[in-house]
Amino acid sequence: MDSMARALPVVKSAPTGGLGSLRLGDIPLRQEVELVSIDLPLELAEPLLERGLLPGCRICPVRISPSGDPIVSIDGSLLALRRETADCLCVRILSHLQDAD
Amino acid sequence: MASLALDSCGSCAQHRTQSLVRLGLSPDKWDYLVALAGNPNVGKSTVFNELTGLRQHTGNWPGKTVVRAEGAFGHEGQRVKVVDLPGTYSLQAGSEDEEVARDFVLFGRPDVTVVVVDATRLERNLNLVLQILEITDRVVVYLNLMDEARRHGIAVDPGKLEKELGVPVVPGTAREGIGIPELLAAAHDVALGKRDTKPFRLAQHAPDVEHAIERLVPVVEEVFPEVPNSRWVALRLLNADEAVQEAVTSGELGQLGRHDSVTEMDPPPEYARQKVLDAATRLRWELPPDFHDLVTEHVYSAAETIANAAQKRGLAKAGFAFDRKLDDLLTSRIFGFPLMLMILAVVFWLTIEGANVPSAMLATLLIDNGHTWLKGIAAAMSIPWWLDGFLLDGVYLATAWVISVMLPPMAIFFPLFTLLEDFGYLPRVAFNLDSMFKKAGAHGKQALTMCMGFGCNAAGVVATRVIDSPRERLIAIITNNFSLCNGRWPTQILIATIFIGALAPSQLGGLVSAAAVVGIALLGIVMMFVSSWLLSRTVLRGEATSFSLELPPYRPPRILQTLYTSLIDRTMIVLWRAVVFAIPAGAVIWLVSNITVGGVSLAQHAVSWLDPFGLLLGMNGVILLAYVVAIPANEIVIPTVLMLTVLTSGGDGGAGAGVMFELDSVAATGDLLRAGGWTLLTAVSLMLFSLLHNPCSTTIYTIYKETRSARWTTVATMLPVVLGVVVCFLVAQVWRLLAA
Repeated sequence: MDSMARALPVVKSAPTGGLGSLRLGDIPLRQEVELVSIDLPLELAEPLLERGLLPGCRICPVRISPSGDPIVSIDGSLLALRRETADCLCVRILSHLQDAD
Repeated sequence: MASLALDSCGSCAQHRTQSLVRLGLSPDKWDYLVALAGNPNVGKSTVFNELTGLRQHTGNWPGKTVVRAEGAFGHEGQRVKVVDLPGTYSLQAGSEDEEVARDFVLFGRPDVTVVVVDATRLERNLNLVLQILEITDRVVVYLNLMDEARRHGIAVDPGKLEKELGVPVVPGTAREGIGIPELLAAAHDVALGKRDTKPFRLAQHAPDVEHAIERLVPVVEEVFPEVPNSRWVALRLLNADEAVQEAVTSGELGQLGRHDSVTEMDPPPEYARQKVLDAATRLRWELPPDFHDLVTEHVYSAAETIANAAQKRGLAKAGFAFDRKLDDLLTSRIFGFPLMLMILAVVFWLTIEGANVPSAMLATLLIDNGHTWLKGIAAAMSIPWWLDGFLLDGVYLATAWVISVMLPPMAIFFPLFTLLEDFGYLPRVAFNLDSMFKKAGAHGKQALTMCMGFGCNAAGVVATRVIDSPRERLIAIITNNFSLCNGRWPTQILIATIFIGALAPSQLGGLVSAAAVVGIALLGIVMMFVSSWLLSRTVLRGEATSFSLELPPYRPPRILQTLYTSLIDRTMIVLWRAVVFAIPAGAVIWLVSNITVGGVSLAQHAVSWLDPFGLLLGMNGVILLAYVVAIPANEIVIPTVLMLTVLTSGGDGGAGAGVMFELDSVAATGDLLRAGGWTLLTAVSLMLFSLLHNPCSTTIYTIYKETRSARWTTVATMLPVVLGVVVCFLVAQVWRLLAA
């Protein structure tokens, strides 16, 4: 049951919005961040989860496409996202201490 | 004992064989059946090749292995059959690939399922492993890419993973053959029941879900006592999974646990089966609305726990310097588009230029020599003129035309395209073009199916399977015909050379006609975007789904393997279908030109009847009739037009009524057409109509096979014709207004 409680924030049904939540779309290139939650209904979030975008994972934007969509590095592989999708990924910046694991 | 039962049983496997045939497997004899599953890009096809020795088409981006491959080999005196399932991230049956894989693991009842896992991305790969373990307990996990994991500073403990998952875990590096013998041994033991497995099963769900499962499981077990995992069945039924419900209704579910039984048992009575469905429906009402989300999250958190237990990560170094440099260029804001156009232009140039010589050789062989030779034999055997004409001038010539015009460009285009795919460039193209498709309400991967359509629309339609969302896939299918296919390029080039290139000074003629053809192709792309946009605003309304695409690392393409497999996979299949459809076309062409009513052939009747309508569209009756009879294959439009022109204008130089031909020189063709009353307007209208008309019957048939819907097949067929008629009509009216 403990793990259930922890797993629940994987997908947030309501956007928290406001200044407090940082989105992947706002992160500059080469800044590694940690995924906190995916602000999308599950059927849209599922393909992302399957491709490794799991809460707690490290994401690093590495490139911007000709039309402004990001490519992120995750788990050592490259994933192309749409800007709208990146704006639905809530992230937090890792401090150096946490980074060292 | 299990192996004996398998070996000696002839009749028991009948039911199973039936379901395997339904799943598309050829029903040969084997001792045990291995299914190969795994995420995309984990080297699954490499494992397949290592096992079977067949140089199998390997996939390096999602959904590439759309055609399931199968192979066979011998191991310790047993005949082993291996089926390569499409690479999928899960078995939720959300996309076509997932459905194929899931149905096979469930209903194909493989004796062992080998799941290939990428050791560098353990957590996300485990998601699929856990889902498969829910369905079957006969699983072996092959931990591939151990070398890459070491390079990335990731240590995976196979022993620990084996303990967590409860099934054999074999580490290795498939590319170098490491771990393959061990994998074979483990698969062998599991398949023959020599090694017991205790698969990890998801334990506790949320209380509400758990409660519903606990009440449904006894019902399932009572009706289907042999089912391998009644908890999973219960969960799927609560989820209203259509395939599982169907398996309950048909009674097929009862056979799933019986791997080596001697006799198939009768399905449980109908009222019992209905009882299971009713219980599931009743319990479903008591579940929380976010039930599906809860279950999904449960799988992910289990995968995370297991992955963390089995691996240690150092500092992961992401990406390779070379890949980054290349991506800097290929997906750059400045160079991305020009490089893409350049690469595609080179592919087309190689295709058109390279195909000329073999096309001419085939034409000489099949038409000049082959046809003459066959006619000689027919004459020697004194076959009646009508039979000889029907078979040789009609059926044979049409087929010969299709083969000689279609085979060489396809044999060049498809391997080139596959090389780009193997190298890893095509996902980047999809990525570059995604924003334009997004604006049209379509999917970024439609860029790939569009490019494929330039080779062959039927192949492009099949390729749309890589698009997960049904709405966006339909858009891609319906609009694929706007890609000017191989069969239409020669028409465009010939007409542009005769009528448009001739307007320019001779040294510029080639350039001007090439520009005209490229203009038509670009117009096709514009039309594709416009109609995608229109469709997604009207009948196929919906939001563009989120787009995420894995960009695989660049890998050196395997040239020989690509040549072999793209010839088998794409070229021959498409060519075969085209030939099948060309045969009746040839017959019809010959018949309409030789059957006379009131002293005039049917063709002439049709031409004079179509003439006024053709004139409205800037063309003439000959062209329209040629397009009607050439529905089976666009390649025969020009030969048919020439034949009909001679037939109706009474000029000489033809090869006889109903005998298709082409003239050796472009100038002679031009003279013939001008004598038939062709003008610049006729040429422009023909070029437009060649772009905007119904797909060939091969493509229409493929669309029907892919959509399984007569309605969408009709839409995909009629939309381009209607557009073509409107565009040609407007152009002709404006043209005549200006000329007057």
